Amino acid sequence: MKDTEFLEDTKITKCVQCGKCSASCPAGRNSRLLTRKIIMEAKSGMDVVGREELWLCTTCFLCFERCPKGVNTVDAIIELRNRAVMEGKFPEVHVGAIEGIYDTGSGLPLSPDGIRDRSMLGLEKEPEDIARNEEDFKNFQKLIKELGLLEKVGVER
Amino acid sequence: MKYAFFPGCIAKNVYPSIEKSTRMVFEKLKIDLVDYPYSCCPAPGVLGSYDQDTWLTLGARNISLSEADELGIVVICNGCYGTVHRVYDILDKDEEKKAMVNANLGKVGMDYKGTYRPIHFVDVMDSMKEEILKNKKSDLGLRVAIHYGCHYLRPKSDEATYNVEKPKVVEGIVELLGCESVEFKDKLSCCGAGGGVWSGAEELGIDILEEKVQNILDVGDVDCIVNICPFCHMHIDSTQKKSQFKADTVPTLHLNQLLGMAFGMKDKHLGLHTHRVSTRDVVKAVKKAGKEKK
Amino acid sequence: MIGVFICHCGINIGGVVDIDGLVQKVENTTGDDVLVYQNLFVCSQAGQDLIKDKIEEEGLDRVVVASCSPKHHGAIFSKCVGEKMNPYLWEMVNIREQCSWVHRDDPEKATDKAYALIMGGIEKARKLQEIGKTSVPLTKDVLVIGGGIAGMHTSLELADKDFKVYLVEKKPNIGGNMVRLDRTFPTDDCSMCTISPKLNEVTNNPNITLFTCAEVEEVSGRPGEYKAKILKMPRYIDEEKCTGCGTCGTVCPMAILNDFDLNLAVRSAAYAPNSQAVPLKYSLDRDKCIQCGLCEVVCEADAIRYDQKEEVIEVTVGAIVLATGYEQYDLTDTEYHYEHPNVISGLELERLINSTGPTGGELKRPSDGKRPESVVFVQCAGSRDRRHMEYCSKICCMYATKNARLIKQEDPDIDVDVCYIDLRAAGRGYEEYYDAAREMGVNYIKGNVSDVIPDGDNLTVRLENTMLGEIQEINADLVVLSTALVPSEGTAKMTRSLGLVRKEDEFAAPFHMKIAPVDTANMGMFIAGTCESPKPIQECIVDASAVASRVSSFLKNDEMDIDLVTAFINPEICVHCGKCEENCVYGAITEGEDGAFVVSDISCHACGKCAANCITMAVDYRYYSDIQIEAQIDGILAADDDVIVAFCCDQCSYNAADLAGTAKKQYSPRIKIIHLPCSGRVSVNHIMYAFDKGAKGVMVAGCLKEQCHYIDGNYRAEENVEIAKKALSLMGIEAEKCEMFFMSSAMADKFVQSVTEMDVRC
Repeated sequence: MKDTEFLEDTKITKCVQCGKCSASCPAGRNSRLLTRKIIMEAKSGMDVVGREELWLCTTCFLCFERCPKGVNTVDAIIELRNRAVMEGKFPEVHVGAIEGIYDTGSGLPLSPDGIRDRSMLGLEKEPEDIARNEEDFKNFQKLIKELGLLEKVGVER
Repeated sequence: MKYAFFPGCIAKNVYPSIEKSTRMVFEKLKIDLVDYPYSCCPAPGVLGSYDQDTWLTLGARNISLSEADELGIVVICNGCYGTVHRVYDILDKDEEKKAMVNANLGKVGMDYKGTYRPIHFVDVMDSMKEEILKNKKSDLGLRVAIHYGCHYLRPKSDEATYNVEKPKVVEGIVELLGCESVEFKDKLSCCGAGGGVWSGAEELGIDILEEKVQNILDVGDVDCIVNICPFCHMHIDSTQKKSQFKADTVPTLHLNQLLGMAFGMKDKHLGLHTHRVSTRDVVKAVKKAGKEKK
Repeated sequence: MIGVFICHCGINIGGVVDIDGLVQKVENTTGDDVLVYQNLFVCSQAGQDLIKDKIEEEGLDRVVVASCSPKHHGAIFSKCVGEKMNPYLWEMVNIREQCSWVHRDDPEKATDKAYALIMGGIEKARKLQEIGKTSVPLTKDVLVIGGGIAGMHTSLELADKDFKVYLVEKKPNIGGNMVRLDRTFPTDDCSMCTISPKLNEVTNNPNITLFTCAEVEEVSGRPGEYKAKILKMPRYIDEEKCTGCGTCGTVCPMAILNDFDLNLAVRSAAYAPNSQAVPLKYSLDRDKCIQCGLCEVVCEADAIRYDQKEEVIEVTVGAIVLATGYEQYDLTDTEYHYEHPNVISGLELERLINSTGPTGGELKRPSDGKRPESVVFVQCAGSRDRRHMEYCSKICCMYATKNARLIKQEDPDIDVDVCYIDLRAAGRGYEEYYDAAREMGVNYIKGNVSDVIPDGDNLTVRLENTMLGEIQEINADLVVLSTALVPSEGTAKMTRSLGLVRKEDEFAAPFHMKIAPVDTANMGMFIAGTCESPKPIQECIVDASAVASRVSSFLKNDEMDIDLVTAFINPEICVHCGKCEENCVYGAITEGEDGAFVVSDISCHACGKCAANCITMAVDYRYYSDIQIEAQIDGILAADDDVIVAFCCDQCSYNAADLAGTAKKQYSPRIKIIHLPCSGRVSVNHIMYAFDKGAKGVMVAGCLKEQCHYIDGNYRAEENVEIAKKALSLMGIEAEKCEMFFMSSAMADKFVQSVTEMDVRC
């Protein structure tokens, strides 16, 4: 992946492999993820998109803040994830969330418990959002379709 | 003061107590909130990881809704902030990406200008300390562990003036309310929910949370965790109740709920009873502190 | 009468340019006041004799030599012409490196170009004026600011060369940071033992006048005659009478954190910084003194003076040396938790292991006095870090190794870890020193520490052990941060008040990092030691010796001659806006008594920036004057109607063009180069003038962005080019026909690329 734009945008070539990113990482402490290694492998043009560790990052940005050389670590991981998706490599469980966003407009949709709590608290039973606005919702779904996300994750609508 | 109000999916659909507390507190502070037909911000951890162009476009769509009314967005969630604020910054600096977004929005008759930078409610509160003091009914007397979460602090934008390793903003607010903020190991660390991990790597999300809660428990005598993000709130509150979670539990409150209590609002109105980890002890402690003062 | 001497240079020029035709053409197109000659090698004895003879015979008062580059034989002709007339009354036209060698494929065009260049040279020569000299007297005294190792050694070397030195030190004692250190690498000698002789010499040397508790308030004047105001703060103790017995200190009831011990110990209000302070004189800290009067009672020397006042001492010196040193960066409120008592900096550790320190040299940690069982060194704390200091602080890898070794030597059972990104041991004996450290059992871990986490009195250090690919948490009783070195408060203050160029990191900038490392852009001002950049002791000594040599050369005569090729300001046109003063990095321009600005000839480097940016054109130069430059443009453009003018700077782009010639690279003969001292000399007017006279394009070529030999001339040039572009657009000429390029002397290809680009655009 000697992609010049990728290397330029992420500033990966500035990395000196000091490991401050790995050590700052909350996921790193609790899993196999070594941020430094992912960056090294991406920098060397190795195939990283198949790595499971890629999806263990919580995008907390602490590594990015702490990197003494200013490598855009999180941007690199996100870009690698985007490429992984294009190759069909991603956690299946996310597909449900994406379907949910397309079908309801919300990342976590309104459930009966939610309706109950809202009423009890004196809020409108259903919140003001895209689901209640037919035209906006249609346009929203159109946008998602146009941008091709559903195809990438194998969802048909 | 008037803002377009972006509650985010969790505050609307899963923990509406946070939406309610926000509306009550903002009303007290005489800040007008206007609603718009927002979609999911969209969730940066999932949508952003899958397709940046989609994430940028849908984010811009949300921001653009209030532009015609000359209003900027206020968010009450780090996740939403992580989207709208970053989308704003990216489109502000990258003409090509902005053109791409508008080319797409144009297909549905919309247009993104980027006139008003989205603001996080913590910054609004930070600018209203006098009004907060005026509305405070009594000191809460709580020992709190502040959980900043991630996207309010990071990535730090060029104009920001806080110290990303030792921020003081939320401490300043809770101290106004008569609370003591405690230091604990890895205070500024992520709760473990972001980046798609909450759903996509559940065990890891639980482990990270467990580590954080244990660090807080190790300090001792902490009444509650104060958060500034419904996603963190949901993770901290619900996940502590999962069977895989091994440590003792600590109740959590969104900052607007804490503000509500300080303003003398009833805990039931603020929805504190809807939390999974019971807030009963917190409410009791607050009542006691209120009586002692008198 | 102008004599034009055209050289064949064998076949170098003659093989391409039609010399006979050229001579004819010049003669035919000029009047009786121009005489044209040719010679096979004008630089030869015969050629030089020809010039000198013709000057005499024909009464020539201006000479034009059309041959190789002035960078090649310019000095020869200067000397030759100088024997007969003022050496500034001649002009050299480059028709070899910048003509015959680069247009070999088109002899006809090469000849036409040579003609145009010569006509330009002739017109310029008409406007040349005699350049005089001026003499300024030089004071032989020197002011050294800062009494650390660099300042002291400079003073001693200068004193040895019979200069009278005023050494000004802010603190009550001399020795700077070096007297705080325990041992020094790579010899492990005791710092105090090494520096003691110097401390004493400085106080005893008859050529050195030492002012302690003193700062330099103000400096005015000019190189060779600087006037400095030294403000000496009161000690409230008579320095002459004080014997340093210390009785006042023992009876004084106050307890104040001692700065010398980096606040790890206390002292009284009546104090000396430490028991080995030189001069061993006490002071009263009046801010903390409660005026109990006990010290006055016990002082047998009757030295206490509560009403002592500050003193102002004015001195006149010929040169100034800045040696104000460094301090440590403050890592409070970072991920390193420096606020914790057992997280200390490198200098703090030096005090803890030093036998004159607060623990008598026993390694005890600050919070509870316990001997640490584990010590962790954190390298690059604040260095190599875009959040703090981007540079490497150079000495930390070695001093951490040194301290690690000392701890291990004292007690091999103490666990010592050094956590690093790269271990830099580049210096004589350094690698061997580092090898020995590892043999002693110092554990080096290749991982940049991400967090230092407090755990009661103890600490946890977190990093990724990158060799193992494992995130580790190390327990530490004591954590030592190898903190970044930053310019001291004194350095920050004095670089500003002296008007010295600062680097982005605020260290004092040398004139040229490689070939003039102790000079500054300000004539007569020099720098030594860590005020310039972090460096070990031996490099401070080298700097000091170098400065002494430079000062000695600078002040060797009683007077200094300077050629008046400098700028001058016409007070009648000057509108007192002060832009020239702002623009001058050499501090050569000041406001005169009547409000108009004035150039100091001795300080002026003749770069041209002031003149190029003066809105009323009140500033001009005697050499490379506006009239001369315009005349040259006139000459070239009258002779050729298809010209792209290239203003090239003497330090870089002109040389790049010459190099292109030596390498025989070919490019369009439309390019006609005009030689200037600095690209900053080019004003918007010059550019517009060229277009007005028919130029098809104008390019300005200066040094690479960060490397302008006149500091920022190329930036001024770039700004002027931008303005010119706007003006051109307004006039309906495409802005791309005017452009700024950056290149170094070695970048011949870049030069060719740039001129080719212009050839295409225009």
